[in-house]
Amino acid sequence: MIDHNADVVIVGSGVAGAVTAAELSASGLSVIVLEAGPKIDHGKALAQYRSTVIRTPESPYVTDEPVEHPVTIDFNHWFRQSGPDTFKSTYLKCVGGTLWHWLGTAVRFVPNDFRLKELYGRGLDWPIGYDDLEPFYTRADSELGVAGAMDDALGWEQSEDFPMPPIPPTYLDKVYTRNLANSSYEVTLTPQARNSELRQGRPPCCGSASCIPICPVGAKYDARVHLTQAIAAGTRILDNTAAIRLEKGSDNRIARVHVRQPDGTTGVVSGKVVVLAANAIETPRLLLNSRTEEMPAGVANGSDQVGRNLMDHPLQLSWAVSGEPVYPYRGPISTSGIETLRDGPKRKDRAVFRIQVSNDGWSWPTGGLGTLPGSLARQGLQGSELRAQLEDEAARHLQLASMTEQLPNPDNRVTLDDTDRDQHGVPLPRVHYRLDDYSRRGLNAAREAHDEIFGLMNAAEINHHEEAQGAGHIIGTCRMGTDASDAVVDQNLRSFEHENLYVVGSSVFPTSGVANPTLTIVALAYRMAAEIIVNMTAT
Amino acid sequence: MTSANDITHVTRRGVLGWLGAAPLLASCSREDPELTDLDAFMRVSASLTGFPVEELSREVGAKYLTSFMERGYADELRALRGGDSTSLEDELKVEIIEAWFGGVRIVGEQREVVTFVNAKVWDAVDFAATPSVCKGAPGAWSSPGVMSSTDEATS
Repeated sequence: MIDHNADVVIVGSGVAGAVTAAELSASGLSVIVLEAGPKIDHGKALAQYRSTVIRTPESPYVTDEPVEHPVTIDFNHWFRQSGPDTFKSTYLKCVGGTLWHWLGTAVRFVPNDFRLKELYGRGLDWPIGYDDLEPFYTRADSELGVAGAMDDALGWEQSEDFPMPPIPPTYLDKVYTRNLANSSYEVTLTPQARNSELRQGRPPCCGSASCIPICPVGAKYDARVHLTQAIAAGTRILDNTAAIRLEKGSDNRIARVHVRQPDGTTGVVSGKVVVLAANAIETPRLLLNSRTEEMPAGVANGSDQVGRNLMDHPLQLSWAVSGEPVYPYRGPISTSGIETLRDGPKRKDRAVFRIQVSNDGWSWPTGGLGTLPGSLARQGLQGSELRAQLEDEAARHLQLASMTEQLPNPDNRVTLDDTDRDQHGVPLPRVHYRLDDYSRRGLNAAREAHDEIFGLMNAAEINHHEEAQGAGHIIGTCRMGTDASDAVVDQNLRSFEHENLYVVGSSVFPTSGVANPTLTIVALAYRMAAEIIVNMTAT
Repeated sequence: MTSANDITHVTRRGVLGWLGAAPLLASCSREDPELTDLDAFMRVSASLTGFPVEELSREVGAKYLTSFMERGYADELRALRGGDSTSLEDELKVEIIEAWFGGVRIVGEQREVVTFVNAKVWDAVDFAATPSVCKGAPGAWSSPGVMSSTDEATS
């Protein structure tokens, strides 16, 4: 029987939970982190990556049966998809969470992202603005270790320079920059949570071209950094311990978190404050599964917004053959992008997007170097002729990935499946998801931009993936707001209904913007942690 | 469809495809085809891949050869003479090339990693990083890539 208590209980050990735990522990609060999945051994994960035939983002980290999280090879494995479109982003359940296999892109929301309704009549506005978050973005840059160069083209102003010089551009970036110089497309070095120099005991990037799914040397930030700090400051992490239900006390506060381990051991963990940092699928799933006769819609769901407004950054993937060698398949998977399309009046009519210039050739759309030799062999090539063609074609592989904005839609939502359950008896997440015309117009605009850019690269054999891909950015479902009738948490991420319950992560984003969400997640976590510390110190 | 309380239709093995045996190059009797067969297979492999025979691992080659022989190509492979691959079916030629460049063989109905870092595609595309293996200091990727020589003699 598990029975623990602490000042703060955090559900989820991904980056949001890790940062929060480190910050709260450092302030002197006792903290317990609940993690449904196992610990990950980096060395074993690396070995598993290399010995796996199907190399997906999840492949280094799948250690247990049953596989209790979404997987790229079957989007219906964990999600019970009720359509009409398929939700294609996945996540891990393990100590450290999904940042194990993130790319490392550390871009901020631009100021207008927080004012979408006011400026463009779309979606809704955030209850906070860029200026409210800016100091915490700066803190996040420092804590994660962001390498970058201040550049107006990024679309935001920042109060301090990046803590590290930028990751140098690839040769491919330089060719894009040269060929697009007289166009409307400005290629910008991407700020990244990846060391460009030795910093805080972590080495600089060594160009292993495997940021997704695994950095071999730890140059890329992952949540181990802050979990280590948290543990050193006294945080206890309970791995393989799933939070399955929240119990409300008589004072309307969350009294206990009910937990279960794979061997059937059950119990409770209590805290003066409970922070949900699972992700935008698992957090609403936990809230909904905590329904009782008194709260039939679940915990913190008086607004009926829990689980609603699920968003991604529907991604347009395109690839082509460059007119000249660009030498991809080396360096970090992306080192530059086009940021100037993220905002503007067109937002009234269609989704905007940011373009990721990718260094990994055709790895995503076709398998890249994994399939090219066989493809050439089937054309009758062999021997030195095959090798020459292989190298020449590989040197010309271009790929662009545009992440588009998705508007909040209350009908895009996570609910609980009626029949299927996980090993702990918790209903699996049912996902209803649809791309609207606003998104589709944005995807079309991205394709047109890709065509134009590839044209400037004198490229041939231009391909566009016909269906939007998942960006791995799971957003919405517990949004923040100013009105308890249409939001789950307030601007400090505290539940409107339960004063000791907080939610942190991209689930609280009212709108998606097009920035990869991690830096904003971390900034919000620091902002929330400051609020918790003030409140708990006062009490 | 999954029944209630059952989410095991995607297994760990299914997610991973297959895990190569470890240690990857450990030999056993099953991986020890006749030397004469292996010699001929290595020469044909050199001809098909464009790599000199001395740049192809015999241990790895034995793994591939065993796989092909167990999959019904034994007679064809035993009939090989010298480095002449003309007698081979086109599909077998393609599979030999795929095996060497990809480092993967087929055992039963499963694909299996024989070698990752020594898959020949990383040698053939010399400017590319072998994923998960360090390629150089920050900025090593900023210069044009160096193309490997493609006119090496094959044995």
